Amino acid sequence: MNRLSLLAITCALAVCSHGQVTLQNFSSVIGPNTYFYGTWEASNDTGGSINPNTQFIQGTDEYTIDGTGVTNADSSYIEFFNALPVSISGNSDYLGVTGTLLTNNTASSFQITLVDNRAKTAFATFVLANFSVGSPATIYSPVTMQPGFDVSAIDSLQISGALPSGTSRFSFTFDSITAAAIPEPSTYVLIAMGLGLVGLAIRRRAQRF
Amino acid sequence: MPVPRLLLATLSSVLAAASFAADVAYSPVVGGMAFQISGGSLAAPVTTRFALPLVDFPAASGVGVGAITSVTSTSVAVTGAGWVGGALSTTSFPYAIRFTSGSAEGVTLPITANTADTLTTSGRDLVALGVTAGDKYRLVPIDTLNSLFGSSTFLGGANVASADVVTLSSSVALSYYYNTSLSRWVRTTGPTTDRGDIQIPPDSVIAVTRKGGAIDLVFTGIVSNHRFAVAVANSGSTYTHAGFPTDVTLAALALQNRIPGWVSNAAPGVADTLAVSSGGTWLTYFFNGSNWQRTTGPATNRDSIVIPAGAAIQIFKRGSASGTTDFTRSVPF
Repeated sequence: MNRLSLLAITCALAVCSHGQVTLQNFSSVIGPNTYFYGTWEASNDTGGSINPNTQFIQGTDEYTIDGTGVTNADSSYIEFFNALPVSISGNSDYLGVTGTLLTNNTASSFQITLVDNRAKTAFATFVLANFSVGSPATIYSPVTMQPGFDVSAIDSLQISGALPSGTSRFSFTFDSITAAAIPEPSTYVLIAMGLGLVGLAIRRRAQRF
Repeated sequence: MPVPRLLLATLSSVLAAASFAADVAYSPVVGGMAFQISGGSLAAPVTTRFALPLVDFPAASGVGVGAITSVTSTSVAVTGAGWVGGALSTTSFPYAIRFTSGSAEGVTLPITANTADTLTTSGRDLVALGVTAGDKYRLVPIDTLNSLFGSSTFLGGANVASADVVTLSSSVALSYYYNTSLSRWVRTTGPTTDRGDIQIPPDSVIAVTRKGGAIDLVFTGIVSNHRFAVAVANSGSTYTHAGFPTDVTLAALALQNRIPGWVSNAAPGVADTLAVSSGGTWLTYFFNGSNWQRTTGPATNRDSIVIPAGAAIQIFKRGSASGTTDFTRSVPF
């Protein structure tokens, strides 16, 4: 392996290591660690329970919230608890949501909230118009943190329609939620270098043969 | 030098406090509280909730702090008070009376009428509350949408879709926005009547649903040096704060001991609950008989969770009884 190839691989590794943390993959939402609260709970109980509204459907590696007939109060949410605190240290600048907009959605946005083990929170809001109907898209939104929020000890994650009107239908299929970092300018340079060098290496190899 | 109660974050609370202290004849403890209102957008508004444990200085002429001479079920008299008739019950600058000693210490009641030496109150029977001659009081200005926020603190708009929304919650929640076409505060629903004089009840919760960028609000006022008391609905929700401008843990707040009739239970669907506003959401707790825990998630002991100063709280009583019960808390400092 020549030095150019080695450098290209190093840069590519730098790109890969600049990763993200999957916070929820929606493969199996229902269970003892998932709670539904308010109107999103089966019996609209303010104590919350593990029983979802009947309009909420588990799919294959995806979870659908169908807002038909479900009041979208901003105090209603799904909350996923982690068995052990999760760290997004180094990947806490953005939250990313991959999902698909349903045709009957009339809501304009939703909110993802992270809760640390001392009940401090961080959140990101997502504009539903940025997603597509029919095919999943991934949208990143910046995270706003309360002072003292601990990115290394995340206890739970909430999804809420969070609309002030409280009446719009929030209808959406979730594929995944991730936490990600803003690449530093130096990382962008490294990424560009890596891609350039990989291209150069491929070109040289092609010329050799 | 008059200093507005709400400052848009450029003047430090310490300076504001110093300015106030120089203006008044007595020396109450004064301070400021800063709240960051998270930024949002038209498509993705963000709601921030807070509450104000600080009260404003009385600006009306007459005795603002003193002792009651006599009392009836609906009025108190203060000999030589020197108030201007009707001046404490105007719609633009209304007042409340807060009892600062005696059986009703901490209770705050709106003033519905006044003469030079008598205040008429509403909401509670003063004799039943145990108010007696000699009890001390403080006049508390009641903020309104106009007096606290004016027309330019938040993003106004020609309709609710383009404006920030301010929701005021005590026992019910009602929402307003500043209509720039009509140049007045109006409800988000219903007729566009001028609501600028809508009162922001003392110790209630203010929620701002922000569609513009983040802003910082700094409120100044008097730090209470007497017991906190707020009426909690025996059935349903009451929105308020923890009583004082200091942090407090769930264990130290101990609502189960401070609200007579509080229902503790191992089942969150049976117990009364306390929700604490955090970021854009509410985190809800109940007392299981031994310690506080979240209504959702594992049965972790949450006694040490801190309620920040000025955080909005929602007390939810599951009972069906009518009326209210006082939540009282002694001065923690």
